[in-house]
Amino acid sequence: MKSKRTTSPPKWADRLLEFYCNPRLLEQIQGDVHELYYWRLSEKGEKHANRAFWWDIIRFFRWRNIKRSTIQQQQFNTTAMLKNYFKIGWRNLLKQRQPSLINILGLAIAIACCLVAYLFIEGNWLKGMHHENKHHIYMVTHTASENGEVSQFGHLAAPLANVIKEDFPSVKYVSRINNARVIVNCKNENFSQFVQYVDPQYMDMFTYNVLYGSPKALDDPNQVIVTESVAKKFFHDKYPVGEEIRVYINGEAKALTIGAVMEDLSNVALFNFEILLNNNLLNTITSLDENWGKSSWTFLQIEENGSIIELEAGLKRLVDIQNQVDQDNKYLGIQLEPMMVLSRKSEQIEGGAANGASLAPQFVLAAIGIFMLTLAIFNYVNIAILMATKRIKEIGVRKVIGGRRRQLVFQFLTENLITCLISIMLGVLIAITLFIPWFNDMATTNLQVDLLNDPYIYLLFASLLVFVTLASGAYPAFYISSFKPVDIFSGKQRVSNKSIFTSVLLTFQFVLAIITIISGIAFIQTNNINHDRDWGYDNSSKIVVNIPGEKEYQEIKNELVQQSQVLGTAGSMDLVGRSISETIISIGDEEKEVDLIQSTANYPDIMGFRLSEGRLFNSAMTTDITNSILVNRTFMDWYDLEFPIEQTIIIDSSEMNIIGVVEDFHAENFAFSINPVVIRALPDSNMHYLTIKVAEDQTEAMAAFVKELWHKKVNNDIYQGIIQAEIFDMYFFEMKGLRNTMLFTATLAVILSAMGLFGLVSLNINNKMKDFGIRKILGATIFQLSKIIVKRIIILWVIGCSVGGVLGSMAIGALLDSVYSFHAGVGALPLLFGVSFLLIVILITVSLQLLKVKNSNPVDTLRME
Amino acid sequence: MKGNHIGELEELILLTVGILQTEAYGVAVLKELSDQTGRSVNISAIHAVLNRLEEKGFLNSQMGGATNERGGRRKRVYTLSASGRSAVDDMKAMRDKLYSQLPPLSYNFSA
Repeated sequence: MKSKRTTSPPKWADRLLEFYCNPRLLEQIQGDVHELYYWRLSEKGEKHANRAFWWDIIRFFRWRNIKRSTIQQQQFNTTAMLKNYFKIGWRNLLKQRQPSLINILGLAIAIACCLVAYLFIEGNWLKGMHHENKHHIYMVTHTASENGEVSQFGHLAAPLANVIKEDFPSVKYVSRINNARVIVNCKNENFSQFVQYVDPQYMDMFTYNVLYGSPKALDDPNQVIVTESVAKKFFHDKYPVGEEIRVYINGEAKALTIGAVMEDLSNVALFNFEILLNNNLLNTITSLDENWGKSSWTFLQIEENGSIIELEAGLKRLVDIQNQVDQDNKYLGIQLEPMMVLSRKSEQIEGGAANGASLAPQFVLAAIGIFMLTLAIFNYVNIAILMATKRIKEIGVRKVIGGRRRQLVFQFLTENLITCLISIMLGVLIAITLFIPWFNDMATTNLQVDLLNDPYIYLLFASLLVFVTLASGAYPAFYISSFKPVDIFSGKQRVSNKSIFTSVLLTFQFVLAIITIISGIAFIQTNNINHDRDWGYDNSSKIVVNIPGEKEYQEIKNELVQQSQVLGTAGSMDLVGRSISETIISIGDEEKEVDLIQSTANYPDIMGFRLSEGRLFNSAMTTDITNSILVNRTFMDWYDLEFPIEQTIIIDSSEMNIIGVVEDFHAENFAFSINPVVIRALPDSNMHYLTIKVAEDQTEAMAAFVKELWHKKVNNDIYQGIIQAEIFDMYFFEMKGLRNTMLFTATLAVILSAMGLFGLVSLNINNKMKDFGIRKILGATIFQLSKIIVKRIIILWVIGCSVGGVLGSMAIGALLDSVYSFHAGVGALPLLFGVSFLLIVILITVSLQLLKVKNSNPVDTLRME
Repeated sequence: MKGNHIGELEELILLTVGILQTEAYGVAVLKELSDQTGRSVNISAIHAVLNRLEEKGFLNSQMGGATNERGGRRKRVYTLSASGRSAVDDMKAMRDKLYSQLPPLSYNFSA
């Protein structure tokens, strides 16, 4: 019997039992297994007893014996507790209005920025997500070899669509889509519109919100569907359905009726069009169903239960049909691409339905959103700690009456959740009412917050809520809940004001602020430089108009020459400042790609190109028109040539002599650098553009006159006349938008970091009020007092500036490179300005708080309550 | 298994509890069972059966006598209830009845 006392059952097995066993059953079960253990110990020895004990414990692990929480009680507790948390949180929010406002406003602004960035990026990657049948719609693509390389193409020979429709029962709908830009005449006014020619099943396949009229309108080839904004443009407030428009198709006007009006396309729409037309309108002598030369985008929708693998295998048959009919365009294979992956595969599919989105603006916007969120969260962290100092006693009391640390953390996070929830709602409101309209105006996009149809946006809200709550609340919650009640009540516990963590956050904010300020200034600077940049030619007093054909060209020219205000006219194939053609030339054995301007002989003179060497064209000399060219300075530099040049240059297999060199000019906007340019003279007939030089100060008046004249002579084209000096206006407008975005970002960043600083300094000062009181009594000046506070911030400012300066000049330099071909880089000016601007903001913020110190009476601060 | 059907192990344990009278708890039942029938059953199975029999109303139980081996823990002591007793009786009667109908072995050698 003695051995029983010395040995005991395996401890871990016993603990396991205690862990899982229902406490009400534990006594009897544990008693029995122990009794058995000692019995076995005396009968069969320790080893066996131990093993059997373990086995018993494991066997007792049955559903009936397992510990269960008493759910009812806990639920009751949790609701009451949560209710209490929310109530306390709400009271605290109301009690500390100023810091709460800073927090909520800061977060809301940041969230609004993120929302805009998200919508913009989403529009690029989730194209077509509003269509109900998006998971059943596929684009039919084919592979073919081109110049020895196999590529995937987004279009398909038009007759194949019919084969698909008839031979494959698992295909529900098929539609060919042909994109075009056409001229539409409505009430004698011409408009140029993007249109899609589609098959009637298109409307069954893709989901569009039809506002008036019938979605079936396209069943009648003489009916069209227009978007709301086009309907407004055409008919203003008149009910558009049933109205007539004339559309020029293949040079021939067709009268069509408006069958329906649909909502404008949003930025996530897969297609970009303003009018939908029936494909039958494209039938010429041969119908589209037999026209093998014509290829279209082809989309199909598979039946819900159809197998896409079977269909794809079946479609292989089309390859044979195609290769039999059209020997010149042989297909290698046919693939179905799900509609939703088209935007991701835009690089891979040539001529696919989704354009590749350029990444730079997406990165910039995402970076802005993340910057703002970071700033706001850091503010929150700093200010939350400040706010907590005022309720440090509450924390003590909670701990003393038995609150665990975990519960306190949870409480703070719950309060945080309230703030974040309010911020998100406010942020969405700010985004919808302010940021999104601004952004749409600036970037000419159509971003919308679509709360009904966009499931991803809720995902964004939810993840923002969780992320912001945790990121901003975790540190304060853990920090504050770590205080010891004894220290709190004895007054020993102070919220540390020298915490490295706070300093790091503040420095980081300075870094972000500096970067954004630098970017703002650098963009202003670059824009100003470009605005004043010499265009390289005389851009004043000139009007350029587009000319549809030979007859109109001569008529308009002849009318204009008779005007006394007109000093001269010149025709050109290219529009300097907007669209320049490119060509390949050969110098000796070398082939080069150059920009080409083809014009009448007097064009360089009318445009005011500055002659550097040689001479301009002489219209009287026939050799000038047949085999002479002018080049620009860059041409000479790039190809290392010296004037005069003996060597001839071959363009289109005809030999050309360089008769003169003009100074460089900007043939395209400032996003592009100056390329080598060749100017070639052509006989004065059938030009695309007519440049009219008018008397000084008469430009505006003559522009109106030219427009009137043009409309008299031309009736099947759109007037695109422009004053040469305004040709970059669109570009400048875009750049101004970009500049404003940068400035706006900088402003927000500075405001956010100033708010954070304000909170932090106020925390510091509150904690040092007694210190300051004593110093004041002993005769310290306000300057000496401020030194205590300012010194640390200045050190952080210096660190922030050096890090931010380096990072900023690199990042912004790269950004400028990608946007402008001509910029001054991030020079000393933006850096210096940014650094000193931040210093001024810091000093002003700090001084606002120091006023409190200055006005404080030591008697009040030193008195013990 | 609902109802008053009793399994074989249940029957044995019911009987054992009856035999042990006021000393029937988990380990005692286990030992008695293995002594009398030679069957070694895991203690968790005994507990499970005892619980089941109690749910069916054949057993009553209360917490009782702590001993040293159990580290001062009390045991749940089971006693046969009236319906338990009648269940045992019924079972025996049924068995006897069935048994009595078996033909004697000696007539059987011609088959």
